[in-house]
Amino acid sequence: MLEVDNVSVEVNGVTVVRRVSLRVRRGEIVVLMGPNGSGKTSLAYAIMGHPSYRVVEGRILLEGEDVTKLPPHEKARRGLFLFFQNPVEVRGVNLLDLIKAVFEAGGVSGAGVEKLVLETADKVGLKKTLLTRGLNEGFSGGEKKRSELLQAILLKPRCLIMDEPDSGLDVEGVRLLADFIRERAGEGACILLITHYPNLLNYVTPSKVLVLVKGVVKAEGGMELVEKISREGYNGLV
Amino acid sequence: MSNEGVLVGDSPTIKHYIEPREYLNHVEESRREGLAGGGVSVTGGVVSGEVASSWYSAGCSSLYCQVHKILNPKTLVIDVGSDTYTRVDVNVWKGLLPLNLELNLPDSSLRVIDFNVKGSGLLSAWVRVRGGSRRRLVLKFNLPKGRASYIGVSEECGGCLGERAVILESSRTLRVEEFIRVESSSFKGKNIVIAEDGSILDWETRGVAGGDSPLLHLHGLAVSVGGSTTALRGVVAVDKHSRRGSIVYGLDSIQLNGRSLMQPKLEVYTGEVEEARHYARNVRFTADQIFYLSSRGLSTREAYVLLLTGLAKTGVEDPGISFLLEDVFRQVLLKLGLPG
Amino acid sequence: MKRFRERGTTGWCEDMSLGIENITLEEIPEVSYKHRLEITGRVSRSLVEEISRVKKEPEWMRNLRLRALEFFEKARTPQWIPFIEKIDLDEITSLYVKPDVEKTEKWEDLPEEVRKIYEKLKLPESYARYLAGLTSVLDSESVFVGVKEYLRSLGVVMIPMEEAVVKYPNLVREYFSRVFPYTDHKFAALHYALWSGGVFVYVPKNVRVAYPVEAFFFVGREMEGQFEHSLIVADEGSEIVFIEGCSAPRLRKESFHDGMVEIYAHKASKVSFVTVQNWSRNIVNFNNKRAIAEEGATVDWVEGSIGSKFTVTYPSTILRGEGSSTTSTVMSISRGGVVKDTGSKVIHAAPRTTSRVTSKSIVADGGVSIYRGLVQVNKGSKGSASYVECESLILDEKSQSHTYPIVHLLEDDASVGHEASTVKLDEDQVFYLMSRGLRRNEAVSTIIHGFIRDVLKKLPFEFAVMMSRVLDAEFGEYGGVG
Repeated sequence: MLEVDNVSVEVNGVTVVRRVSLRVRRGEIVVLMGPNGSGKTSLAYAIMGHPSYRVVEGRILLEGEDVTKLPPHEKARRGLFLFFQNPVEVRGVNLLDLIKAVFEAGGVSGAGVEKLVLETADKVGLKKTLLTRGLNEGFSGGEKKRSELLQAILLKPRCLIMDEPDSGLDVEGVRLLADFIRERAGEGACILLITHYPNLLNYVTPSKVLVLVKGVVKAEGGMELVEKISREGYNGLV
Repeated sequence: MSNEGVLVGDSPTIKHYIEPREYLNHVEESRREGLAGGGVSVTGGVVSGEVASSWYSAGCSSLYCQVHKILNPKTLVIDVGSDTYTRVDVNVWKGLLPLNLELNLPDSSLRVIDFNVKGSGLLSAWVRVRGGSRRRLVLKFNLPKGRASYIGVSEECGGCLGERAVILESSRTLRVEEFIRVESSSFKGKNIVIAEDGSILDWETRGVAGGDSPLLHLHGLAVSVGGSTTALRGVVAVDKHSRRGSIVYGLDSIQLNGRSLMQPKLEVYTGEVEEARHYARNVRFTADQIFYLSSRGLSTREAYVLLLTGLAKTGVEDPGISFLLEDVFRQVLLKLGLPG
Repeated sequence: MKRFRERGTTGWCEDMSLGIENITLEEIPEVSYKHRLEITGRVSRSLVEEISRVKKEPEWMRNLRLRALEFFEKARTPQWIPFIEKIDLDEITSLYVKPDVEKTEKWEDLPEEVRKIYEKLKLPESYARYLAGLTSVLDSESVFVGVKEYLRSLGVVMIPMEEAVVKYPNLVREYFSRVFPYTDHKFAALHYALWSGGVFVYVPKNVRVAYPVEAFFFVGREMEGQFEHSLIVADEGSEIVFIEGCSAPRLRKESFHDGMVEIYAHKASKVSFVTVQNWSRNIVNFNNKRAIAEEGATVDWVEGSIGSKFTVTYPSTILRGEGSSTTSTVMSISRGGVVKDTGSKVIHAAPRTTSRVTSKSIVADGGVSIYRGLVQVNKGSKGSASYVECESLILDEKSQSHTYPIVHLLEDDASVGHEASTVKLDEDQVFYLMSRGLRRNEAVSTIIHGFIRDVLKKLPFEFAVMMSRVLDAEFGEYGGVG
């Protein structure tokens, strides 16, 4: 279970998220929506622990443990995973290297990793040539998402924050993503799904929908909130 | 040896990163101490001969190379054995050791030759590798603190397909000259140099690609730590009469409290070229990159190791060489104690 | 020449010196430099004194000229200029040519034949329509100075350099030769000894000049040297765009151009300097350009180099103030026996400074393109970033392209990258365009335009059009009709 308890986030001295609380239980899918610049990604980064996104108020709890002050890799080792909206390029390090390093850091042998990565790449529709290129270097938007998905599948996180995982994906890709989300939720993972477009929600049913506007939760509800936003946009809530 | 104030007006060319007069003084001093005892011992190979005559690559025009010739070094021929690893111990306990090493590779399987230099005397050495038409080679050099030294490496690839990596660690002021000539063949080189302890490492490359469809890809990685300076420079030229050449000359540098000077010059004498490019860049890992790797479960230290070993492998195609380089480089980094 | 005594080949003779001390240390020449530069003839002290006297210069300027002359005579001939073999100073006879034209402020007052030349170059039209101020230097003097009311009302000063020396002595003295000292290299010293013509521009604090100002340099006669000196001082918070246009009609013999531009950009100011050079084929063009940028200032260099037989241009910026930045965009064409030695030099001498250099060159028919770049990040320039990108398009196997970048990183916390590539004409692209109905020469022309597009975007519109036309003229028939 992921608990965000009255969290405020500051970036460069500016408050971008103000006293947000939410809870995602095991097996639950909670959707976070909001217009551009509402602070969704900032919140995601702060939960994961990016040094520039400071939690100045409140706590973050993972399975009951206060992880607010822990560095990102400690949170990752406790099962937290951030599916980046725009993953950064890393020259010289390829997907294979990364997965191997992560397994080894976790005490799992790196043998057989290559085979596993290749199989998973096939499953998510990621071209083999991208596996040996620098991470995200020259990847298209859709390819970046597939690369994130590959990592999410292999690392088996217990709690996922997914920041607009569907943008840039074609119909097939969105279906794959939806299958993955449902499967993980079914296995007991908690999923905080940040999305701008309601598309994905044709395939996945959240238990709760929150709308973030200018860093503050402006509305809470269920699928009917999603439908309202598809029709009217965020106008009524801003 | 002063590094400051080297710019001369608007002239962009600075020739000597290691002051040649000081090198000459060192040579004279060392020579007065006498010829270094101990010499060379080889494990995993056989010294098959000692020849009086020696060879030099065309282009041996620098002061350091001229001095090397004057010192009249003997040439040791080493037949590399069937083992992957060959260790060459070079003892320079005092004074001066001028040396030519000719290494014979028996076949095209992966070979690692580890030059372990001991002692603080002045070493002036030339290394030439001869082997079959297919070469997969890793050369390791380790030079402890000592007198300024000189190493020349020569590579001639006519009708061959080769990949060679060099990983050189030095705590002393060192000048390295590398000569590569590729004629209608393919050669990929990766040079990793690590300068430690306030030393200066000046690596100069002269590369020429000629003939039909030559491929010459040189990648360099310079790491300067502990107040050291690395200078990676050179000229790679595409011959006027060559056709369909593919030339890449790229330099990356990492400064962990050090200075980095890079001058990869590219001379293209014909339009009949498939690819001719070069780059010089320094590597800085951004907070976003560290965060990304961290979010996958890697500690800052582990993230740095991954990023740096990734750089070590850039430009290396042979998986065996790649694996070895990564391993060796990782050990060097651990020994140096990474940032973070 | 190196000399050393050969020793005996057997054993060591401890008391025989190795003879190393007999080795004469010489600069090891660059692989590609095969010629040495020869300078013959003389520039007499009396000529320099005469120049100063005629211009009615104050003593400090005369002394500067004489000191520079002294330095020129003593200085070593630089070896980093390939391909020029000989410069004969005696031959460049009328080093100082004063045309028979009085200086005027009205276009109509110029003698007819001079006006005709200018009209052919479309100068009066541009002036009227587009530029705020225009000075034209014919041979070695400023002939036409038109400074619009607009500039005058802003308090912007734009006058011939000589006039500025007399009229604003303190202001000029503060900056003249401080950005580019005569001791920098031999030709800088020659320039300072003989300088004549050029323009002085001063933009007062917080004044933003909305229209570009232009200076036009014209070499009319044969066997000449032109040594114009321009000084642009932008006071705090000001902004100006300066265009330098250069031209010469087709002459039979060689002429030598050794001009200089000094720019001082004070805090938060912005100076853009645009050069469109279309010298005729027998000019040896040496361009000394340097700027100093103070805190938060920006200096942009833009250069389109078409003509001349041999051009060396190397705009440099010293980023002295925190947060200052510079860009340099160079485009050069070398067709035929033409050598273009261009580049950029940036010194990052303060924290959080940025630089961006883009260079594109096209070579054909045995032309030579050389890019020299220097990026140096001094210790203490934390958080600085630099990116250099060079691309060279070689159209045939007779031509050459060389790139000599130098990257000096004396500071750990900086982000620097230099990338360059040399590409040849892509026959696949040509085929594709031809399959869409273009003839071969049209296809080649289209590719060339595409190659140079982002540089053209930066030039003022009129010049972009001119460059485009020149490209068409030069390469329109290239590759034959398909």
